[in-house]
Amino acid sequence: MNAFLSAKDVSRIFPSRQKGKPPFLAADQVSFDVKENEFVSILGPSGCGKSTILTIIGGFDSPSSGEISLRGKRISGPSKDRGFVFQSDALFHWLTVEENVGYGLKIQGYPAAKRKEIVEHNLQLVGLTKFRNASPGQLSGGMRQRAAIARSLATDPSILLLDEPFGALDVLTRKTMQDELALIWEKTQKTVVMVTHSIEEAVLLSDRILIMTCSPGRIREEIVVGLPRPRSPRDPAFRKLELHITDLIMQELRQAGAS
Amino acid sequence: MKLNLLDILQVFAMSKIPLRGAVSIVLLIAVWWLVTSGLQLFSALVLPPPEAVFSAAMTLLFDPDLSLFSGGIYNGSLLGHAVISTGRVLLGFGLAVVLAVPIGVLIARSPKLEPYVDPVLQVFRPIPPIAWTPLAILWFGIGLESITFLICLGAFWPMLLNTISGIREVPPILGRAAASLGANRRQVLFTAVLPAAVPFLFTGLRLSFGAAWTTIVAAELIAASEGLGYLIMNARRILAAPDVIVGMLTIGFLGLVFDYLFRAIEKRLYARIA
Repeated sequence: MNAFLSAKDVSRIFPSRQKGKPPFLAADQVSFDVKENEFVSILGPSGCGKSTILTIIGGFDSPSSGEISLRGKRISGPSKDRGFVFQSDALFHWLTVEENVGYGLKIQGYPAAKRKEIVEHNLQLVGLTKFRNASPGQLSGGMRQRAAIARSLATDPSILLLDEPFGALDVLTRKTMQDELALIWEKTQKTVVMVTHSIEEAVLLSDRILIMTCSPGRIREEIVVGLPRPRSPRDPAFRKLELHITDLIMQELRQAGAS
Repeated sequence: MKLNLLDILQVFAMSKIPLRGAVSIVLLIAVWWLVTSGLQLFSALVLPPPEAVFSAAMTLLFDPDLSLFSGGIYNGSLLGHAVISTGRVLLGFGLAVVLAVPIGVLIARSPKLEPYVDPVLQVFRPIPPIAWTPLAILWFGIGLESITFLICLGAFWPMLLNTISGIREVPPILGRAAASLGANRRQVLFTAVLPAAVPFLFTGLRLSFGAAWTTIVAAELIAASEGLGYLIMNARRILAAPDVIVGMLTIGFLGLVFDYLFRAIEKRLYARIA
């Protein structure tokens, strides 16, 4: 299969705010491919340019050099083709859950009947049918993220971009949400690029994991997760892979600290 | 938007302000009575007692021609003056909103514009509308145009500044979320950024409307032959202190009524905010 999403030598340099300080190299010649229907995670410690890359895929930022293309078309701005789920609080708080999920469909001019049907389907998918008329402010953090995922899935984008989607949740909610996202992904087979700093989350969900290193942000390693689904963190093979990745990252951090 | 008396009453009832507010108002009137009629600390010429103001209000409302000093000098009843002033305030305020909101949105949405615009804003903002009066007369002559210009100036700044900060306070991810769902630039503005800024915009509306009322007396000083500002200044000229206070309190009362009206509209428009 050809590359569906392709990043070629993507660098992003942020000019320094203070005079005399060197500019910050957030991403340094990052290249990777994502196949259709593949779930790829970008994993790394905080502040390593993971979100920078995802923001560029989303079209909200442009690379300083290099390019990212989707289906061979260079990305130059946001598009309904690329659904984006933010870490938190990106729901439209003046709309109900239902209206949030239907927002993209309405913007794109779907007829009301069709809209209703799609919204219903997606509310069911994330288990929020009972909360259709609630406002985001009345929902828990986990439910808000479910609504955000449903909102992004509703318009059926080619690819779903998840920016630490469960990063703001407590540990228990986070685990539940990870399991649910695994189920949703199996049902929809959507192409996903997820940014996370949780190794367990990456191993649980991904087909492939790209490990990023810090300053400058580079992809150090690519790991194919061959484990059968559904996966369990209790599985010894799961544990082994998790430890292997932990070692890799720790080694990297030590090297960065020594230099 | 449908807005009936019931909604307004409901906001009154829910805000709990009326009851406690009524207590303070009764208390204030009691103190006022005490220092005037009660203990005779102030002469009626300097601070007329509440009952004198009340009877002046009744005369001005129902028998303006019989008014103690005036004999028709006020050129119509209190209600007429109030309606005329309200009309002028609404005109100047409306114009200010129509100008300030788009300009504010433009400034807030173009960060490159800010360094150019900001110094200008900071220079003009502190100039009180009354200082513009000579220029207003030079430019627009004596009449409604000058009055509208001055009220508009007074109302413009609070609306502009609240629009700018309201739009700036909207988290960028809301706009990004809308864009990733297919919204174009115009749709991002109208369906994500502006709705998110509604509380700020309403604060702007209320402050701006208050500022419009603050400006009206100064504006009506110019050359009005009617209006609450005219009434107050004319009453001052003939030393009718009760009539001055009636005019003042009418402005305060109208300001209060419109403030509640704005709150009621905002509540209706934005009922879903948690």
